[in-house]
Amino acid sequence: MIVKRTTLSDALSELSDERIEEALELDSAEALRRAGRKEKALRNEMRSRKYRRWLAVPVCAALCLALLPVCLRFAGRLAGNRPGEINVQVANPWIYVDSAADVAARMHTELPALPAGKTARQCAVLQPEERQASSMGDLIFTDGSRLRLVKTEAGAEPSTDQMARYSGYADAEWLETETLHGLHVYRFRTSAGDLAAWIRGDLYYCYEYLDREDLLKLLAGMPEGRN
Amino acid sequence: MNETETDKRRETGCPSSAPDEAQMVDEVYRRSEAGLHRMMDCYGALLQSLSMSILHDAGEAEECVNDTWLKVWELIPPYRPAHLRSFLCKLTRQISVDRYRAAHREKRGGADADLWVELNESMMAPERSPEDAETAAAVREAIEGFLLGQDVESRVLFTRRYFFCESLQSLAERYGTDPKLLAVKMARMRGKLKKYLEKEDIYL
Repeated sequence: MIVKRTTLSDALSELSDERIEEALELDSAEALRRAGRKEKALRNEMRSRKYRRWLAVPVCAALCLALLPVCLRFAGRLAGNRPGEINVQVANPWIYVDSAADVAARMHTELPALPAGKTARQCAVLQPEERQASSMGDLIFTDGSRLRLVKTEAGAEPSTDQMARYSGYADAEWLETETLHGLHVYRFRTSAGDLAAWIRGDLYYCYEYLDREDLLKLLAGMPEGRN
Repeated sequence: MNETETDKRRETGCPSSAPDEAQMVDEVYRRSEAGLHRMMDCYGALLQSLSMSILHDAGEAEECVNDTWLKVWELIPPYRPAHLRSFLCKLTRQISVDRYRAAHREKRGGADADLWVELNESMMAPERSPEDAETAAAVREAIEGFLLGQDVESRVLFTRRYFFCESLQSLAERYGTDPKLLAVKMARMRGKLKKYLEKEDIYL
């Protein structure tokens, strides 16, 4: 619509009380500056509140992701596992650490059959999908013995009790000790032929350094088959 | 009361506090002339200065302020203004603008116009059609919307310049700035307002 100048003037005469009071109150340079600073601070606050709201979503998501492994571990402890117990599985090309809850679950699982035509050493480098298909939690040898990598308390050797708990037999005997990338690896054998290796060191070292080649090296040094 | 405080009071009226204003309105509502006199004491100078800014004539301005008090006496009751000071300013502004328009129309009308004015006093206060009032309300709403998007400094300068009709020189002195800079600022603001109004489908 086209309006006349007089209409514009009439419209100005009806300006809101708020605008008129504001103009009357802020009647000096100092008052105006003060109000300007206050308004600017308020606008900044509103803007940052808006940004904070938008930022909250990714920050919360990142926090949840970061806390997830901790929660899983805690759940594992609640399930009856000791702190530091880990189940190291072979993935191609990296070893990854499974949740502690799996350790307890697999301890009492019947050993699955080795995929046809695979030897123990081949088994260690199975493709992830093959491992998944065979539902293996440990490295399975042809004679049914298995290798499990377990972290002990820092500086401590695994006790017979510990070995028994994992192998299921109390007469486990030490085979040898060696150092692999700064990790102390203990191997033991039981009368039933269960074979296990204990690694004393930091969990993350284990995760970081034991890649496919390391694992092959480790396996190469181990006696194969039931004694 | 020192000189600065007196000046301030003259410019902005009595210290604006809600209870005082409400009390004055109550008194006038009860038809107390004392209440009206208190209003005159408090806001007379402010309204005189507002009217002077529009008419540039002390005598005319005084008449406008007197008309304002008469209008207040007529309107209250039944009307009860929430903000007395701005209510008075609006009344005075409208009365002064009407008087200004009438005076200019008179000039344009030449000598005969005096006769018409004499014949019909109501011409001094031009009637507004309902359509005009409706349009003015729409424009007012648009201007309010525009001002809400501006910072406090721009809002205050705009209101002081275009509602109170304060001169650029006076504004510059009040806010400690250069009149030329202020003129540029006001021109920019007018440009922005024009664009804003056009976006709202209002053309001048």
